[in-house]
Amino acid sequence: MKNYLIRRLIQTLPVLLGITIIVFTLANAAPGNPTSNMMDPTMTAAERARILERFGMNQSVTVRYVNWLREIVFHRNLGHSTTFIVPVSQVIGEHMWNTFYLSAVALAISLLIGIPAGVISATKQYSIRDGSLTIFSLIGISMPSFFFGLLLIKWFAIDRQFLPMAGMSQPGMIDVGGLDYIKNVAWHTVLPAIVLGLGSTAGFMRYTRSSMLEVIRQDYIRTARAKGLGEKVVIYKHALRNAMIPIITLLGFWIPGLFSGAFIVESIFAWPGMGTIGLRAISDRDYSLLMGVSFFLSFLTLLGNLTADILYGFADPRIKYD
Amino acid sequence: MSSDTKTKKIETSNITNEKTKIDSPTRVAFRRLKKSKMSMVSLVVIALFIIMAIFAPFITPVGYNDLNMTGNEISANLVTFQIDEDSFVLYKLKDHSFHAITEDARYIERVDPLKRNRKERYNVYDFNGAEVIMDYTNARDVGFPIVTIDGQAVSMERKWNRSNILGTDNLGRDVYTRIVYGARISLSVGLVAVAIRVFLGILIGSLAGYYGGKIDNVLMRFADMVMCFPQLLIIITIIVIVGPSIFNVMIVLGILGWPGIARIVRGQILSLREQEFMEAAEAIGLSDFRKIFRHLLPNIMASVVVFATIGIAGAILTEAALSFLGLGVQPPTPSWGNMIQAARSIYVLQRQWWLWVPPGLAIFITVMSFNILGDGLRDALDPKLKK
Repeated sequence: MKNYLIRRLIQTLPVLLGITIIVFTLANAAPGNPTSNMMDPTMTAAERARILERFGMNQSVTVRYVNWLREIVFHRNLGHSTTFIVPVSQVIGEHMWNTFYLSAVALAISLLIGIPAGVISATKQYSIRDGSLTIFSLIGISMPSFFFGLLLIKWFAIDRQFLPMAGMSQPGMIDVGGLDYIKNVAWHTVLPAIVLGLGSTAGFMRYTRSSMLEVIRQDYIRTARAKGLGEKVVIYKHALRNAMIPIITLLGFWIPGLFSGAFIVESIFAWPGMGTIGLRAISDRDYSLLMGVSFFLSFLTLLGNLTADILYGFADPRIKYD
Repeated sequence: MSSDTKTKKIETSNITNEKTKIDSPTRVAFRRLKKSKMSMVSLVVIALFIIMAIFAPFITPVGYNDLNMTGNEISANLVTFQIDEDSFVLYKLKDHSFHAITEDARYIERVDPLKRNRKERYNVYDFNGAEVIMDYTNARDVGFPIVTIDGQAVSMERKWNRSNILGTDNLGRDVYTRIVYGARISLSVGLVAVAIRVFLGILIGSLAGYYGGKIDNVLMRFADMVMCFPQLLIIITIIVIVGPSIFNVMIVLGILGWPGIARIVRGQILSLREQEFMEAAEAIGLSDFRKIFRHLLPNIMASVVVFATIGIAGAILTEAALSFLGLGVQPPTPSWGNMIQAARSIYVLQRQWWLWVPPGLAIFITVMSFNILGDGLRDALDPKLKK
């Protein structure tokens, strides 16, 4: 196990390096560079050269890449955002918890609904309940999140004026603080969390169902029943535990999906998170911010996959690592 | 010795020793697929959308960019009034105007009022000498005005728009026509992007699986890398660099989507290459190329087909999301995603459902059909389920 851990970590390094190269290449392929806005046509060549030099833009791409990487590794410095006029790491730090919070709520919803629904669907295969749950899950994976979000905004925020339409809290609420603020944020979370959670709920439901169907046909389930164990114990203790193993891997792969979803959901609900700043960086051509956000999200995804792999080893003792 | 006969032999030895004629796996799969009602319905829906996309100009008489600045933002479901025996009007909430229509709700033209009183919120019209007053004081709340002809109130009647069955947008373009043409975009993006994915996925997956070792390691780490990026962010970044257009969207979606297929192909080839028929292929000295393309790949096409079908659904969704964010297909070319952009305005969201609900449903139905078909194919091609 220890060897596997070390090997897996070493394997991750080149992937991480590759990600930094791709992110850097993309940002450099984009038209213009961070100094473009600082120059105006009346400047002399010498003045331009001085600006380029000050920001290190006169060096070769390789040198710039190495510098950029060194700053990240040793100083956790992702550069300076031209939009927010603060370091990129600060912008990310201010927004990432909003996205984590929203994603966590959405993930909790999808696990709490998706897994039990998948179990019911599998244990009552071909029943009416299974049929309707299957249709629900098909709707869930096929519904464009932006369309679903707009429908919910129309029904609950505009027509009924029952839930807030956008933002994370009412303006000024953050200064009120305390329980009122928490309630206000919770109220604002309802719609975006439902929209973000719909797809993953459906996904977890489908995977749990197929995984459960496979497990309940196994011999050890028959043995458990033959021993005279109650149906609940058989299903939730013996079957579900084994059926959950592939779901762990799925969780690891779900992270990029959640972040991609957050882009659209945050844009519809004006949620102040990573997606919003990512889109902002794109529209404002703020490349250091864009690089920072892409690198950070890819890094998290990689971390997620790694954790899923390791957890997989703990969850399934049958897996032997050499 | 074709691969087909080989798969047949495997089937026969595994399943039965009946003497009846054995169907090819493809035929068996089709028979199973036909039994699933949901899959057949979705197949028909997809076929209809494809026909709609190909024959768009024959299906709808007007062009997708035919403007009509006076007859814009007309609803699909009209508020109409009968003025006299043969004059009918529709009422447009947006600017409180009357438009002449035929009795069966076909649009004619806007009717200009004799007098407008914006302060007291009414218009006066003259229809063949009769004085018609349209009082729109409460129209925003109830959805229609109070209309009197020579002091006599007339009742409102709801009619479905016959000239523009899904109404018109802010530039007076027919929404139905734009949805028909939008099918072209959505389907072609889905199909082309997935074709690129399948090509790259099979190429990379089979190389990795067949040769193993270092090549496998490098290619699969590269796949990990591509899979690690939050897809939408990286797609958006590339689109910003190369510029938003339908071709760029297709290519980017294709290039970033291959790792899924590559993993499946690799996994299956890893197990297939240890089987006896590959030993036989080795023994008769076939080239690597022939072994991969004639003997290994036909055996894994089933999983690739399933994956590709579901991939089309995903690609259509992503294209729609990109166009919705303004980074995909650019106006005036209609795509279902960029049509929904109209709903960014609260007024549209609240009162003009025909502008954004139909394209949303079109995306939803198409994507759902591909997902159902993919599920159906998976069940039909699953060798574990016999007959």
